[in-house]
Amino acid sequence: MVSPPAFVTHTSLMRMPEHTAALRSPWPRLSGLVDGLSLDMEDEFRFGHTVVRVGPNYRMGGSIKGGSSSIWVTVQEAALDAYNGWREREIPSPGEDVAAFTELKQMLGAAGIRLGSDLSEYEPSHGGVYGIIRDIVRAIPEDHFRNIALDRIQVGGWGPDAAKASAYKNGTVYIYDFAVYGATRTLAGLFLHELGHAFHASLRPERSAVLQECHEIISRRRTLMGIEYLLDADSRIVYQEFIVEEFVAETYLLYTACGSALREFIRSQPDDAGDAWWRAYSIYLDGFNGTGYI
Amino acid sequence: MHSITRQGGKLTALVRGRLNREEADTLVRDVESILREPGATGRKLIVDMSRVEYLSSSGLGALVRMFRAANDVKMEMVVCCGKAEIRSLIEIAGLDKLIKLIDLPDSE
Repeated sequence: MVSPPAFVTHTSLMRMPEHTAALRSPWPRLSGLVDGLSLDMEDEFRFGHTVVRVGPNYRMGGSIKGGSSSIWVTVQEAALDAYNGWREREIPSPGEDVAAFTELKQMLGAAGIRLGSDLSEYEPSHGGVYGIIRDIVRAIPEDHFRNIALDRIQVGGWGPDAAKASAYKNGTVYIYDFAVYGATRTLAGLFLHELGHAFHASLRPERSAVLQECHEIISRRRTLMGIEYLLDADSRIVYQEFIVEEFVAETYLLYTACGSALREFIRSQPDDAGDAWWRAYSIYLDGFNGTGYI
Repeated sequence: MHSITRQGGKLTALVRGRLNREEADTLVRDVESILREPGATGRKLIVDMSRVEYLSSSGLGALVRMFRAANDVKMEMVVCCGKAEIRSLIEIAGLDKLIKLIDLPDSE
């Protein structure tokens, strides 16, 4: 067990909102609680699939670019009830939320960050999504937002990476329709992951080099931490193992959404991996000016 | 449903129909089992999805598990997508950053 070294000292500990802090635990299954919801169906809904009625038939498929290029399969009518039951519990309300949008815009604006695309800002159908992102932004110190390489957040639509759930590119975090119309857990995970890329882009080269060095040790020892959103936890571990940029972005998500779980995980690692983890952790701690997360 | 063939240094897993949770687990188990056989490895593992009608999220997880298994025995893994929809699903999960994608099986 590796205890945190002296340089890992928090000046304060904050807490992410519950919908985001939930990422630290396995994703609770609704299969068995919602009528007609099988494990396979639940996996697909978690991955952004919906059920729609087409004439007398029912079809299940994905929401890629609005659904036009997805694979749709025929399902029974009961699948629509199962989807609706799942959606009620897992997806943000589609109703309008101008207040959340306005507050989010003000908070980001104070840090010099724009909200929206060149074509539009507020999108009525995004409803509760603004509230979820606002809650996350509230839990991040304003000076941190000033220091990371972030100019704009676009919620909804599609962008330069055609078929993606989300992206970070040239100072903009894109939360695409796939994430907007999907599960709250996936939205929260993707948003913080993309902020992690913005954090990475703001690091001085010597700091990036330290993270790369830590990643080499942590990957070689296969001591990565995975949480379940978009894909299963094991897949997210492999994703980080082979791509250092994804490790840095995912660690940002772990640092903010699962702070105490991450520290517990690090303490359980063998010596060299534990040391590498604490060195990496301290770079995030500096980036948050001493603030850690519960 | 799937079949696995070996030709020269290439191991090809041809997947047909729906790649759901059950089929994904069987596919990974079979590929891992072959990769574990002494002297069974080659230079490349091709997962041919050109005849897949439906790719579930479990199927995407299966691709990641096969990628790691191939990497463990120093094999490159390539996924032949066939349909644009299959490629889109792999891309939306961000796996195109990890796994090399091609359109047709004979382009490798």
